[in-house]
Amino acid sequence: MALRRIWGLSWAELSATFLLVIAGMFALADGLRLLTRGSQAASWTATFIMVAGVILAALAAVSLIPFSRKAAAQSVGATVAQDVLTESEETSDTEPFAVLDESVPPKQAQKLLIRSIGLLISWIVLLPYIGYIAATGLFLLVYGLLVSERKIIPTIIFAVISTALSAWLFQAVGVRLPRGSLLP
Amino acid sequence: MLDQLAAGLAEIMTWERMGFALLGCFLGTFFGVMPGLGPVTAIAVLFPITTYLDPLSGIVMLAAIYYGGMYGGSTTAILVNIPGEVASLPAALEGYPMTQRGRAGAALAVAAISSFTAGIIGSLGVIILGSSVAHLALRFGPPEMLGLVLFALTAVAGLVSGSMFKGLSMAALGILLSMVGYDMISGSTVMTGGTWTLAQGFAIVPVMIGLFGIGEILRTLTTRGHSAKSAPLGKLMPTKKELKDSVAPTARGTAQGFSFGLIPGMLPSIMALLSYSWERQRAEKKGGSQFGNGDIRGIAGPEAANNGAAMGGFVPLLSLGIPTGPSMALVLGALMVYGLTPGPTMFTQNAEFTSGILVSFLVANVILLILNLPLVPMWARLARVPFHVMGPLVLILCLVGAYLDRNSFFDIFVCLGAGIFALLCHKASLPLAPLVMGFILGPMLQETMRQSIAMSGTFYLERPIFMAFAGVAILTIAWSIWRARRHTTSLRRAEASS
Repeated sequence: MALRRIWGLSWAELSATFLLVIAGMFALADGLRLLTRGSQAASWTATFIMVAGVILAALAAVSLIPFSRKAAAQSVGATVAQDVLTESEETSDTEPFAVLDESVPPKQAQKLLIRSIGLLISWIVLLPYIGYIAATGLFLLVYGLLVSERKIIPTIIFAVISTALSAWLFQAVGVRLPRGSLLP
Repeated sequence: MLDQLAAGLAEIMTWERMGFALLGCFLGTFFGVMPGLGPVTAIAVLFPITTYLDPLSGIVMLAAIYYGGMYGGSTTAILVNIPGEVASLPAALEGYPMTQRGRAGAALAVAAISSFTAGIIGSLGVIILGSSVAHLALRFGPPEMLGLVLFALTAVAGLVSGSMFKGLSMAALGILLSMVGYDMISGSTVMTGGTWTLAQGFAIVPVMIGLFGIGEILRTLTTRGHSAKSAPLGKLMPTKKELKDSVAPTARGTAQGFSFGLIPGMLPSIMALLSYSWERQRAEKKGGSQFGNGDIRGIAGPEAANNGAAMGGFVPLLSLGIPTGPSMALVLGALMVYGLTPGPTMFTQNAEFTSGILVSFLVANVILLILNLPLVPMWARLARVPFHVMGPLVLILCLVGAYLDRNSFFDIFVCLGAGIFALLCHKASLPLAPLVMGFILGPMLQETMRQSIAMSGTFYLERPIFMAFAGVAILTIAWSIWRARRHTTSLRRAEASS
């Protein structure tokens, strides 16, 4: 909390960096475990992952502090893109293009995201039991109604046709999909 | 060289493979047309399906998907003014004003012809240069390869991310993720936390699909839907003047794209933007510039540079086994799944197969030119379908793709986890390209480092090629930090003056 306030960090920056530091520390701990309990042959791997872990944790932590944030710019691609757009705005008579960065309000985006991820997890859990066709049909139907908030009839038609087409495509290239242990 | 091309053509020209190329072009364009998705996502999502084919048919379909993805991006940019990805920005800036003047068909045709030209010349370039580089690389030992890997990692970290600290930390994370599972030398489990599930390690396919498929799609799903307007297509044939004006930019774009595309980190999208900027400056110097209001040169040059850079990336990939960016890393992953190891032997022991791969690029370009122009009205209609209609189906295709690699439910969870992590990284401005490069090059880095140290404790002083690569890697880090400092200083000055 204090770091967020003092350095003006976002939740995403703080949590992603936290994850990176944890991953680095985990690698360091596992390297130590290998070095002390593993065979002689594992000592090289142990040293390698310890070094990589320390580098990861250190760089991730350093990337948060103001000094390193000052030494950060946009990527080369983003810089060139910005230059191109600035030049274009000065001369173009055309209306600006439809960008996808017009984010929906944060709360709505969060709701969309949580529902999408929740439905995806449900699909994964149901797949071994009810098989690809039933799980996918159900997923597309519920997604269309709950997340996309579309009308029921077009949603049903879309779910049936897309599931059938995708199942046919997989079959055409010889892919075997789970049939479901609960289905006959 | 002609013998090589003829051998490759003989391998490719079967009805079955042509059918897969056609299907690949269609599916790739379908993905490219959808705003927010591009060739990288198209490959990530669809390449598991290609692994069910024989390797050459798989590569043919993959090449067709890649080019279809690139072409699809330009189509939506020109027709409905939605640059779904950075590389399509020039096509939107110059192509949409042409659409408004009723010249959409000509803009699309020039985009297709420029891409096609760059693809053909680039393929020949890969055959000529790739073979030479491969023969040179046969003399490379572990220290030289180690230097090359270090250079590739730092170059991508420096060019693709704004912060070198973030770029290198993501590369380190990628390296560590590639090591999870059983250690090849000692047989010990590494970073598994004692669980059997993690002992199988992270496979390339679910990680890639998660990072570039699930992550991108979830991000696009949570953005506002766009309202695309319909526009008349007009005549497909460009006028003589339009064709004449686009010849020189196409030639320049191809040369610039191909030569810069050889360098790790110089992604096709960067080259498309640089080419646009250079063409614009050239036109303004000469006078009579229509840039910003539908100048054909602003479409021809960037489209050629985009495709040229994509082809240039195949030289280090096929001859050295070094990818230059995320899309090449995906292709490398695909080749490894097919049981091929990119490197010098691709041009010596697998020369016929490699020729087949290169000819498949030519075939994909030809099919796109023939197939896509008549289908433009259909793609335009598809581009207007809101993403939340097609997005969920694509999400499912991603998860199925992750499952297919090893028929493992664990991989589906890995894929979803990677997608959520990619979303977090986007919010935290952490670049994914170095992570992927680290993940792909991690095993090679570890192996070459181990072998180099076993050869000599002071190998870094004894091998001039290693020293040269290491020197360039250090220079890349220094340049990246200098560029960032300059950026901060100019921002401060701008603030002070305002």
